[in-house]
Amino acid sequence: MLDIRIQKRLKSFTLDIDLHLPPGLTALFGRSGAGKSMTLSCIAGLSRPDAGRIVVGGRVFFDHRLGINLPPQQRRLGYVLQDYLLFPHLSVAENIAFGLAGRSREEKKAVVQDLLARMELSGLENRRPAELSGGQQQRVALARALATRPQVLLLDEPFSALDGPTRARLRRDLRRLRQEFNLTILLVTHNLSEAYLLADRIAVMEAGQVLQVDPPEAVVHHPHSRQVAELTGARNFFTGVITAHTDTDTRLRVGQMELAAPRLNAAIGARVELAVRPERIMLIRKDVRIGPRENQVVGQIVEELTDGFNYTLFFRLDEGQRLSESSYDLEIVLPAYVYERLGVHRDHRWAATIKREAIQILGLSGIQREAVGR
Amino acid sequence: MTGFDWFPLWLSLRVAATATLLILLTGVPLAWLLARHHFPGRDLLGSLTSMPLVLPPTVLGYYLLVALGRQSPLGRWLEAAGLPLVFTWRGAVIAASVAAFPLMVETARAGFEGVDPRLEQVARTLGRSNLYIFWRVTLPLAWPGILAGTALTFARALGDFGATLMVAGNIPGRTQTMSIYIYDLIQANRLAEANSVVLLMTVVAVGLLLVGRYTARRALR
Repeated sequence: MLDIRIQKRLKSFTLDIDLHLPPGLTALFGRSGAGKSMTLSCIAGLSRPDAGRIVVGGRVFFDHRLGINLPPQQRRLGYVLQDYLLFPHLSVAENIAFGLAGRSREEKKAVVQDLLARMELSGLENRRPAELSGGQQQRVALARALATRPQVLLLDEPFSALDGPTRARLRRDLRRLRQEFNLTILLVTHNLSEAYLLADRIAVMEAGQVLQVDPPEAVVHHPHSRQVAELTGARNFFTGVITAHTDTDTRLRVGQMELAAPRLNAAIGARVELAVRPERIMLIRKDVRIGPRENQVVGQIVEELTDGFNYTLFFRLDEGQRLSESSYDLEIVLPAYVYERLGVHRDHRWAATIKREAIQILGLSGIQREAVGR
Repeated sequence: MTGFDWFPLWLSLRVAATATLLILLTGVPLAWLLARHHFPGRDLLGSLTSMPLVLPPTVLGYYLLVALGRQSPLGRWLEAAGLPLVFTWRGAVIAASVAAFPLMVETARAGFEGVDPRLEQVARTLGRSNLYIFWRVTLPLAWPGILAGTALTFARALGDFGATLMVAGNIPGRTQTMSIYIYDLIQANRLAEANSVVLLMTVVAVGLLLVGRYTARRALR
């Protein structure tokens, strides 16, 4: 559906993209300044790559070698940006009808009425954009882009200027519109939960490169590299050496510890990079006696932070169990209600278990993973 | 106040209106070009355009006189074509136009620069031609700036003295504009008449300013 292979020299890095996307919703995810918006701009024809080729739905938009560069007008894509960019001097209806060239007054009116109804904007057709709320403005921008019936919709951070509830609503609208209009969507976002919620697949970008393209679950739980792991919320990065394999586990020496990790197909003695997801480390309850847990460790909380919903604990393991040489070994995230139920504030010393699934093996060049993925 | 001479007012209005029209036709496209396009020599062109603002009007008038008079090929050609400029009301139009031109270019340019270029980009992705986008998006949004420029231009053209005097001279009934007429009246110590003419000019100028402001505010809404 979308074949994008482009290079473009930018100020601080070179955009070098190679993406082949089937229909559906793909999220271009990465921090700001990673080149996501520029990629979209190149696809829309508003920026010109230095080299490469862009083919969308069988139509060649850009081909450096053949000297093809279709103007945006001929690409027939929907393009929606964060700050809506409605024409401030035109009414809602005139905004929506803007792209409807060569249609009769009746046809335009029919299209506009249909979209007003679908976007729940009926009754606002004569308003000016300045008289609308942010959510309404963004729905008008979507309606304006959809009026010309594009097959591909490019969305550049479309929800980030909106407040929480409005954003949630527009995300639901987008899921519905996708079905109704049978759209292929490329969504630029720096918000992981947004990408996870909406996308069929996530393309993780950093410094002009695509690091990984996978279904959301695979990106979060099986990152290919430390960069992807960091971008998807992993903390706790270590280097380990494979010491043994059992039927179900691979055992790794990390610092002073031996950890059980998911089974890997790698030679004993191989060095691997690993991350431990902070929300998959559990503190062990003190009020109930239980047998030893996998990868059980003991240590103390040296610092804690909370945003009201979650607590982040900085956990230093006891000598003999240390994973690193820094002031703490593990960052642990737990929900506020768990923190309260456990009574974490009552004590510094805790035992914890590092769940096997919490251990993500990164950067396995030439090493095959066994039975991972969806 | 017997036999009040209405000719200078009529001539001034005619010169200012013609000059404003000329400037609208040339200055607005130039303003758009300077605001929206990067090309070699753009800064130089922008500076050249503002020259009349910094040059003393008599110096400007002298340059025009040299360029358009009998000594220059252009002047000789114009005279042969039956359109002499020097010492005619057309010369006054040219002088006023050149003097007022930068005011339109600067103001309209600010107007165009105030239009978010991304609005034009989005319009392009909606499939509309660049010409349509200019008429339907860019021009209406830059309109307050163009309107303000028009008011300033007209006022400047109406009041020009130095450049007009150099190029068109001071021929009563032919090239004597209001500003020059006022000067003549004071020279001849006809102060009562000078007072009424000055008052008239003030009313016209303030009226223009108010109309300009009002329409600009309406266009902005």
